[in-house]
Amino acid sequence: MEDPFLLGGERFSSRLLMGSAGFPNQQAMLDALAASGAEIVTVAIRRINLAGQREDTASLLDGRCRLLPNTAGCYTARDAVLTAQLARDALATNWIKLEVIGDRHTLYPDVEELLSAAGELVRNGFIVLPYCSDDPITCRKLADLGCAAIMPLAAPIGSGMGLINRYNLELIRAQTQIPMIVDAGIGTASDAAIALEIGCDAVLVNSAIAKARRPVMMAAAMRRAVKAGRGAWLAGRIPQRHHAEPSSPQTGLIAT
Amino acid sequence: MTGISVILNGMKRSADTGSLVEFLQAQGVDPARRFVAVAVNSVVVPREDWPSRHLVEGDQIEIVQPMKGG
Repeated sequence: MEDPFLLGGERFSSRLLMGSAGFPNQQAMLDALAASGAEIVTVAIRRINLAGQREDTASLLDGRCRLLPNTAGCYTARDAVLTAQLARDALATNWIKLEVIGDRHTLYPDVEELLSAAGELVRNGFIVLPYCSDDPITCRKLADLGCAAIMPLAAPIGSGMGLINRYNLELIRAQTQIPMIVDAGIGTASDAAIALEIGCDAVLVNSAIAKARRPVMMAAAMRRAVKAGRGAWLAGRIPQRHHAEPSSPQTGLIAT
Repeated sequence: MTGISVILNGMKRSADTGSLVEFLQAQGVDPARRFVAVAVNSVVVPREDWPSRHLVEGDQIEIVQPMKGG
C-alpha cells in the first residue's frame, strides 16, 4: 500500500527525519543516514570558523538527502528570523525548522517568540516547521498561522525520555489537520513506534541515534520502528479493555 | 584606501572601504565557496550583491554556514 508522507508540498517515503549532530564521526553519521532511510536531515546554521578548521556538513550531505536548516540556539524571534533568512541564502531552501528556545536548562520553546517568528516567516514565504511544546493551544495557533507542520516535543531535547505526555500528543493529533512530527525526546525504537501508532505523521530523531552505543544499528531499528508504528496506526488497534476477552471459541467445550 | 573598523562574527577587524567580496577574500573566505551566507547589520546580503556592497565603519558582518545540528 502506497503511503507517502506529504510535507511542504512534497512527497517522502520515509517518516523518519534525522538530526546530524553528535555522531562519533562523519562516517558513522553517513552510515546511520543510509541505515535510517531518512530523506530529511537537519543542520544548524553557525558562524564559519575563520581560524582554519573547515567543517562542511552541507557538501558532505548534499545529494544524499534534503537538508533542513534549523534555528537552534536562537532565543528571540529576531535572531530566529535572521537565521532562517541566512539559511535560505546558504542552502537555497525556504524550509526552516524553527526553534526559539526559552532557556538553556530545559530547552523548552519560548512560545511567545516562537509564534511571532512563525508568523513573520510564513508571511515571508517560508515553509515553517516549528519545534513546539506539547500544548494543544500553541499547536493550534501555529497551524492557524500557516505553518507546514507542527513539531511538538515528546520530552526535553536530548533527554531520551520518550513520550512523557502521550495524552497531550493524542489530543493534538485529534485536532490537527497538518502534519505532526514528534521532535525531541525520543530515546529508543519503541518511543518512535508509539509516536507513529498514535497517529503522528513522522518523528525527528537525533541523539537517540547519534549517541547510541551502535548508531548505525539504532538507525536501522528506528527505521523499522517507524514503519511498524505507522502500520499499526493505519491498521487500527483494538480497543483497550479492563477485562479479559477470550480469543478461542466459547462453544464446543469439553465438559467432564 | 582608507581603513575602517568592522565587526566580523563578533570580532573586531580592520577592512578597506572596498566591497564585501574583497573583504571576504581578505579574510580567507573564498567567495565561490558554496553554502555560505552573509548578513551585514542583520540584513542578508545575497551572494550576487557581494561585489556591489561597500562596507562602512562599524558594519557588523556575520558569515555563516550549515553545520551538524538536530
